[in-house]
Amino acid sequence: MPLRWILKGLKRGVLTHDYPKKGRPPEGVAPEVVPEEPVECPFGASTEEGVDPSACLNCGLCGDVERRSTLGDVDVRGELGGSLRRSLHVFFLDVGSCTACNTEVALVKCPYYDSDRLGIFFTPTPKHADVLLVVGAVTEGMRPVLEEAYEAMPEPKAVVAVGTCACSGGPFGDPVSSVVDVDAEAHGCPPHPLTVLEALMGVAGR
Amino acid sequence: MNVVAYGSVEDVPEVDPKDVPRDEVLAAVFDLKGTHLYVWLDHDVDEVKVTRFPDVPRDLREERPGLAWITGSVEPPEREGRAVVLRYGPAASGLWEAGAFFILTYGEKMLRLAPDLGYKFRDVEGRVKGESPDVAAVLVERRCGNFAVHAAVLFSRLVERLAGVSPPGEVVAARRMAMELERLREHLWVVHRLAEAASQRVAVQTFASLTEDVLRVMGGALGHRYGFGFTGPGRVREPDPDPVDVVGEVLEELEDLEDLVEASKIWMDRLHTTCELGPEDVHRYDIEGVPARAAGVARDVRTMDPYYPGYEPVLRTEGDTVARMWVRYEEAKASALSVLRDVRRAEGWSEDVDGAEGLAVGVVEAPPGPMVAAVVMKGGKVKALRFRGPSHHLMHAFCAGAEREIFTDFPFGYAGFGIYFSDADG
Repeated sequence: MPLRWILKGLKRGVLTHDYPKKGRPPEGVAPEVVPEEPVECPFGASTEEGVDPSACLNCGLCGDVERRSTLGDVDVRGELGGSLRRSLHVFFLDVGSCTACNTEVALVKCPYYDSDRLGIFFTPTPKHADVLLVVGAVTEGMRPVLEEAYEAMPEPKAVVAVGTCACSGGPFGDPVSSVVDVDAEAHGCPPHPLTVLEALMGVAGR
Repeated sequence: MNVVAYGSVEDVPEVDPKDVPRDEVLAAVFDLKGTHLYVWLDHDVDEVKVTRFPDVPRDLREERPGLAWITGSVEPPEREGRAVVLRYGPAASGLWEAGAFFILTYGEKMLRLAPDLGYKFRDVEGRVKGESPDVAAVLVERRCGNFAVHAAVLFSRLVERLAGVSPPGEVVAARRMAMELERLREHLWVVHRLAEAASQRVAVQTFASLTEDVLRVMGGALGHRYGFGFTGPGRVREPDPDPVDVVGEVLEELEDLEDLVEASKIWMDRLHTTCELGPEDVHRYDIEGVPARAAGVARDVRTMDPYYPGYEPVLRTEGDTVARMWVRYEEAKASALSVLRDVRRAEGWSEDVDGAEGLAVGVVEAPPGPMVAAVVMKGGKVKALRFRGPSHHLMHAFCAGAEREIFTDFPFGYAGFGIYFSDADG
């Protein structure tokens, strides 16, 4: 029976992207959307400089076509570097997400993105983690859990906030940066798996 | 019909809930404007019914043990003799979400379980108060991103009913296509999680990549991988039909994989007789959705939904995790066929819903079970919203099914329900 599964997998062929060697692939890009009556962002993402990508919900109500047609971007402020450039262990923590970010993070392990090939591995405990990857706006119940997880990590360590809620608090609560320092942000609601990978590689110093 | 409307809460008939026939399913109890709205599902006549009553009678709990699940009044287990209480979560990697379970355990047996809810409470109901329907829809679909399309469609239909507008057939086709894409993706993801629990590595990657295929279809066709913003009150985005061709390939793959999954004895043996809920449990606890259908009870609110004329629920009889997986598998194939039928008809839509006034209550069949909502609109704004996702009731149903199981059965049972704390907490 295992042989039949293996043959099935071989028949499907290699699905994994060449990313990051050949840049971002086009799949998953949303088509342009132009609302009939654009409005000022009701969630506070409009600024004088334009749309704040860390606060954008990608809801389309403002009519910002350009933002909706990208996979989402990253903002890397700190790098771990050193021996962690090639091998990164990540502890995933949800502090109050809608669960779409959780699914996108889980999908970085799927054959299309295959985080293992990039030396990015998930660990079930913060004690073995180099990176704390956080999704969701911080709820009251999860605030002490976030603090505890961060404290349990060995040095050097970094925090990556994934998704609008984690980066800016979104419409539901406080950002991750209100509890611990954030080293990188993956923007989007939710961010594409490639955006998550890009933030992780950025914080690794690659 | 799956949606009913009233001029105000006071117009809802006052009925003692103890007088409602026992075979009507109690789907939700909403505390609204100083009274309690009871939402019933009558599968004999395929209708949702709403009654009100000043309180929740204490003796109703004896007649309907599932009421404690609905009202969130389940007491966590306490230490019994040598058995101790373990709290699993809220940062457990096995749950992959902020949530926890209390587990009364002795040795490797789980004697009793109860969900520890509230870690993801974001007060969506409170935040939409006073908002326009469009802004409220953005928040409603982010209650649980994995059921965003169903939540947006349900909310939209309630507002549209109060505004006296109804979408044409082509728009219904667009919404149905979006809902069935979401169901297809969710069912594939649940099969993936079941394979992961059983360490079936090739199957894990196969179903994960199929899930990603459907997410890409949703991104291309609906404008967002999770369908955010695709629809709202009085509007549906013009879908792009071209990316949907991939759904035909996903369907072929599903048909091709079926024998292989069934013949994977190690995998199927782990699911067999795990987390069983029989028809007597379904009736006793007012259980709906996939767990009911896996126990042979034809409860699927698509049978009362005008968006799904002539719908026939998929049934299995065993009531265990393997039965729930096959219900999902069959429904995934049916969803794919439905999407392929609707895609060429589907059209966008825009209609004014400013005149929405009154109370509307409705239900749609989200991937794991029914999603219930009540909305009060006044002056073009949301005055009150009450929302009950399927995960709330099914968290407790999972706990009931997992009683007396051993610890290693936990991930299989939990994954098979396809439920989320974000949906349960709101």
